[in-house]
Amino acid sequence: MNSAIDLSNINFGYRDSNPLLAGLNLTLQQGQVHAILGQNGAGKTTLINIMLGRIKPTSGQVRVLGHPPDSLFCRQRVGAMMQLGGLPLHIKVREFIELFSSYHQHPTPLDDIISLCQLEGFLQQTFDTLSGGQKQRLFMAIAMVGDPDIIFLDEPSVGMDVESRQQLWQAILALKQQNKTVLLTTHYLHEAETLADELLVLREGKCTNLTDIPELANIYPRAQIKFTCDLPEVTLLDALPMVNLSVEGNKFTILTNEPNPILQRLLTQFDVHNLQVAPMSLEEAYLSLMNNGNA
Amino acid sequence: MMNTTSFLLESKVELLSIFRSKGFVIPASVFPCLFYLFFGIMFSHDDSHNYMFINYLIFGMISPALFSFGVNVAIEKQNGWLVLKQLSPVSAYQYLFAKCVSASVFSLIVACLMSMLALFSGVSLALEQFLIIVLIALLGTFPLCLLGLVIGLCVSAKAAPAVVNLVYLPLSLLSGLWLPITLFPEPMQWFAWLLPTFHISQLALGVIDAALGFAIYYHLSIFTLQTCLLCFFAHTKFKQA
Repeated sequence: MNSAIDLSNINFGYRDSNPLLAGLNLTLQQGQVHAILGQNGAGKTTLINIMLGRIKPTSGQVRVLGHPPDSLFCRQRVGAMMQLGGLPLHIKVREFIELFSSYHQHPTPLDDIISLCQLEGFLQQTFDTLSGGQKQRLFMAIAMVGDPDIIFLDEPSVGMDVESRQQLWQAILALKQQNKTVLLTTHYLHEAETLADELLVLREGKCTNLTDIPELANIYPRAQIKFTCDLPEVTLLDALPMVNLSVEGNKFTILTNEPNPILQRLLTQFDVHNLQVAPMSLEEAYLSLMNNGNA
Repeated sequence: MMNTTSFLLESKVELLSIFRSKGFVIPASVFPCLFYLFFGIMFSHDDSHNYMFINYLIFGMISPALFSFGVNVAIEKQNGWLVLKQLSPVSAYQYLFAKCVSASVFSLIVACLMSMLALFSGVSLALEQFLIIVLIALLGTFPLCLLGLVIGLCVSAKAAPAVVNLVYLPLSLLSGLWLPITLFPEPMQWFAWLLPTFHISQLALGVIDAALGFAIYYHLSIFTLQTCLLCFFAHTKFKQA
């Protein structure tokens, strides 16, 4: 499988004293959906801007489809849906699509892009009358109108309702089926987990595959036991000394690799209610990892 | 990449964007006309109707160039429209030339409105003279487009209207577009040579033999030099944007 994007030893910082990206190496394979996770300010958008050639790294090499990211070749083969404030207010959706389509030598047929991004219902509406979700769908259509090989989606589902988000997911999966490379940043971990072949975390200036993070590998297989109990916390801690227990009011949460003995003790020794046992989700594992990182 | 269809679509979008904003178009076209009516017609004497008309015509026609570039580019830079253009394979010049087209159309509309007022104010120009003057004023909008572009790229969307006004109004006054330049003290008359609008005015006034009397090539060469300098600044700023 060929690589779509190669970043080697990238360093970048807005201030010399505080490097945002430090020795970052990353290779993204073609035809896959990659998701980048990271806290606010971790440098996700900066990283995307470097891949788009809008920011030059202090040092390191960037190759997109084997070319420099700001080359005309990349402009033709890469589509980007960025976080934008707005477009000219009085232009209709169809006029935007026709204009951006005219920039490309081999654009996606208009009907296809309209149907893929579900723009049918508001083609004749001007930008100022669109809802947040409709604007996002228009931005996505503009990103995809040139039939690109690589598509950057910077937090694409912000402002979308549940139905629009589902439609967006379908569109992203359709792109994957067409062997497009998609790079997605998102705050919705469920979205990343559902769509992405590869989950990357940007932390401390470096990009790591989520499954390669040892702390996460330790946390991820755990089960989560939730229950309510009117006994004081200290009583439960005495009874279950080796357990990772957290409490909020009378709601208790236990993270464990071996739920069976704990459940047995809970059910036989204590008066517990609303007992729930679930595998720990990626979101919880990730948040737990990030919180530990901050601690 | 730039092709004819794409350029026409770009110009269409620019024109629609301006002319669908009625809150911008109506005041922006009525303001210079009212200015001409109050100061250019009411205070005009029998022998100065043509002189006033030519200067106020230039004053009116440079306004869309300065505002369309200065204010709109600042807004488009801030909201991300410029980013979308930079990420697409289209040449930056297509976007800028399309803006020139829309500013020129707007300038011609202002020229038509002012000419209608001029019909009732004693202006007496032959059709050829009138057309040449409009053409000179139209060509004269080009450096103002570049100046507007530099302003739009340098300041925020919020500051842009104020900064453009701060440039537009003194520029007009100091170039002699409101009052004859000969009424100013001599140092100010020489200062006017630094302003492209002064040279446009002198070239246009030359059509009715009302210029100060310097050779045309002086004005033409300085005007060209100023345009090239602005072009250089605008190009540098645009690459950094």
